[in-house]
Amino acid sequence: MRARLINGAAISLVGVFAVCSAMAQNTTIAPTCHAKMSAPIEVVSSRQRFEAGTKAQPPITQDQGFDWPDAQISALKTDSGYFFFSIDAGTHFRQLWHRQEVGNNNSGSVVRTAGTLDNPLGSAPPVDVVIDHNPDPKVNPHNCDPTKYPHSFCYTYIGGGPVYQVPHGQVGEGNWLLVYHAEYNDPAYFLLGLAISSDHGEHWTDIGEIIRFNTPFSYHGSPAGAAIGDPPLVISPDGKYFYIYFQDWLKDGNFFTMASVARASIDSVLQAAFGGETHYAAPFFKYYQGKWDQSGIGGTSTDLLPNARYGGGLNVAYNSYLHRYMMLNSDSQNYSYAESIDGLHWTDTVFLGMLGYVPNIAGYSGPIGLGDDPNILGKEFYVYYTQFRGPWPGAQSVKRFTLTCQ
Amino acid sequence: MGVIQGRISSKIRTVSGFLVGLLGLVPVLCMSRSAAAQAFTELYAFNTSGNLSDGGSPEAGVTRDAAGNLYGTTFFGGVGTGCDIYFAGCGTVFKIDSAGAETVLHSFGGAHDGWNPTARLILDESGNLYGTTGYGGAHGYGTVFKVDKAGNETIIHSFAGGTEGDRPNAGLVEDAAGNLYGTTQYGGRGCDGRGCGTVFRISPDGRETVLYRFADLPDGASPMGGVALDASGNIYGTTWLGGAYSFGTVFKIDICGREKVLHSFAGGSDGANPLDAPVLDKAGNMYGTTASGGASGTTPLGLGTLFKVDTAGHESIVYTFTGGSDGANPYAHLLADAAGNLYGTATSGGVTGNGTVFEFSDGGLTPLYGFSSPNSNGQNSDGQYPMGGLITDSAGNLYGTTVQAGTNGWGSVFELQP
Repeated sequence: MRARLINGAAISLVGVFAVCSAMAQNTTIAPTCHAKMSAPIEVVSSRQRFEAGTKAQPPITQDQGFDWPDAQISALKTDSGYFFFSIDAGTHFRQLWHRQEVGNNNSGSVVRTAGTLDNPLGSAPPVDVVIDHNPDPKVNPHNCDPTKYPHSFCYTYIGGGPVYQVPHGQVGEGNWLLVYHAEYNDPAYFLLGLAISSDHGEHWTDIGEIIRFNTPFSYHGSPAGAAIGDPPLVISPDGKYFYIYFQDWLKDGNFFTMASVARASIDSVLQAAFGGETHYAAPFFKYYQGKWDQSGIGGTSTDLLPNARYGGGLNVAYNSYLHRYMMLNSDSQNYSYAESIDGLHWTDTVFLGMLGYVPNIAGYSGPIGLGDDPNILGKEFYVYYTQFRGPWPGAQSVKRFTLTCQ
Repeated sequence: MGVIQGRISSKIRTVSGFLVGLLGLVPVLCMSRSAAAQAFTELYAFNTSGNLSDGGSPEAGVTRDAAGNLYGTTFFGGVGTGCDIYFAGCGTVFKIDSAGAETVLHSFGGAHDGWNPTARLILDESGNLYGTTGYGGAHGYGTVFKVDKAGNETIIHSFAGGTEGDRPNAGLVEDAAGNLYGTTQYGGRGCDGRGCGTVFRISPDGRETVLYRFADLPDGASPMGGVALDASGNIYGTTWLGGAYSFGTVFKIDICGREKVLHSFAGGSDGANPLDAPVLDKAGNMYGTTASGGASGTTPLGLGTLFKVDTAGHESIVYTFTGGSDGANPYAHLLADAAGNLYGTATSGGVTGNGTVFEFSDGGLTPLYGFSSPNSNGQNSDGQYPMGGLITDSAGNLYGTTVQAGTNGWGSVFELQP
């Protein structure tokens, strides 16, 4: 994901507004958080990260070590602390481990660590596993071994972080649902999919794509110039839908939206993922001009933040103190947020500060709530991010700041 | 500064490193020049060794002695292995002689040594170098170190964390009595227990006195740059965060230790997030950079500013970066000449987006040099992203560093001739 991140940073420098269109949606609400941002602190040092990588299970197979966290850190609360999730960007070569073939010869993974909010890496060996192919090859033929297929047929990266734990009483209760980020590297192109786990993240199974840019992937096309990220599933105001927010690359005018949204009913997603013998992803539909009728795979979308000053790396979570959704944005330098009551109409973006300094950029920001559900924010919450330093992978660390609504 | 920052003259050494340069040198840096007139030389490209043993990624500018030798620090490289930032050595103190030959005077080793320095060095009349490391030392919270001509390093002070300060990132300045002044990003008080940062003084015998502990809103927080001293012993600096709007401050600490926020950056059309110390002119006005802020209709993101705080404490933005050939996101302190012209670096922006060297005079900014784009191996002929500030010599040549690229991909030391 790093190449994408750098692209995002570069875009911010040369004027991201060049890519914003007039697909305006009037902003009629004002922010209410009046956020105070604390000074960032380091919660995982570079050496801690490196040493954790030496203990990872299955063992890391790439010389460059533990390329973590290559996406925002997300969390689930446990009886004894937290599980944290992010991506190890390194190549996970096929290997025999505990008499099982593991690895997929591809970059990216799902890393689960057990720790605390002050030490998300914890002391236990990180579980660093790939997203396995679906047993039904028709579900996602592009999640394949890139060493065995022609150029640009298979993803060259697949990994994920944000995890949704299916609540009691719903189809698939107790299982985990993950949003993954996949990409092709030549030319660079990004997309989102879902994976499931029934054993608390020891194994993940791909259930297919849910979001592709409006601009299709072309072997001979231009590389994508902005990020799609690895955003979480967000429950809609009426509780019936999963919303997912991302930047879309539109065909008309060749520009990126600052924030687009797609949805699928929770029932359909859980039924498709867990309800039958075949596990697959229910279709998502992008929001476009007041309707949810554009396919998540290649449809067009409305820019929800057409006038935003800041964008990129967006993460949306509900804030129970504000009774609003909050969108944290980071282009790897500038941090900002916006608020929404309905998830569609957003306030202007509010600048929080410049935390990343090229080349020492601050990427992959993710908010974590301090209550029982880390995916629900409150008056005060934490934002974690990856502090880049020098070439990747290398000296990156994890930092955190506190955001307090006054 | 030209030649030596710090202890060069009993008459002027009570002022900031900047003012040493301002008073002592360079009458020639007076006029605006076109970028095309500049002669750029890559004096040294890090990773000539091929294994980074000669250092890599200098984040700070350089210091120059009377013989024309340049001294600086690199964040990566050297032969140390015990550092917490686990990549390619623990950083170095280097010397580049007038022939362009580099010597690693000290490789930081980690453990009780410091590691990964980001600070500019100062030099005394005996040729000793002084600097900081944000990491390491006896307690792990950073060090103030001295390296003599022979490359022998002494830890003058190890920060103890907590109320005593933690993570000194910036360079030092020295007063007439030989006291060293600097800042720590963390430590002190507030900020969720980690501390909002401090301003400290190290006496010649190595004793640390915390002169001020920042308290966050509406006070400042997280000073990232060093400080400037005036002739009365007042201390001036900036904080990256905090202030009335969380976008940082310009502060003054008087000789009684009383702090006053001279300006709270407001973001928007004002600046935001200054990363280095201001410089003082002869009249006592301060000039500095903000890495962000300066938003306008044409630069809605806010790509950084040059600001002035006059002796009455009034702030004004004297230049707003556009991200074009002028550059964007200036991180470092400014250099001023006797005529009041300012020289600096913008870490990004420029024609290729890889940073610039600029001159600000008569209310206008002139780009002096724009760094080129590296190739697919991360290499070019000049460097990329100048994070540190500039110095000059008696001929008006400017000297600086880039943190990336250059002939060997790991940053460069450059000279820009008028």
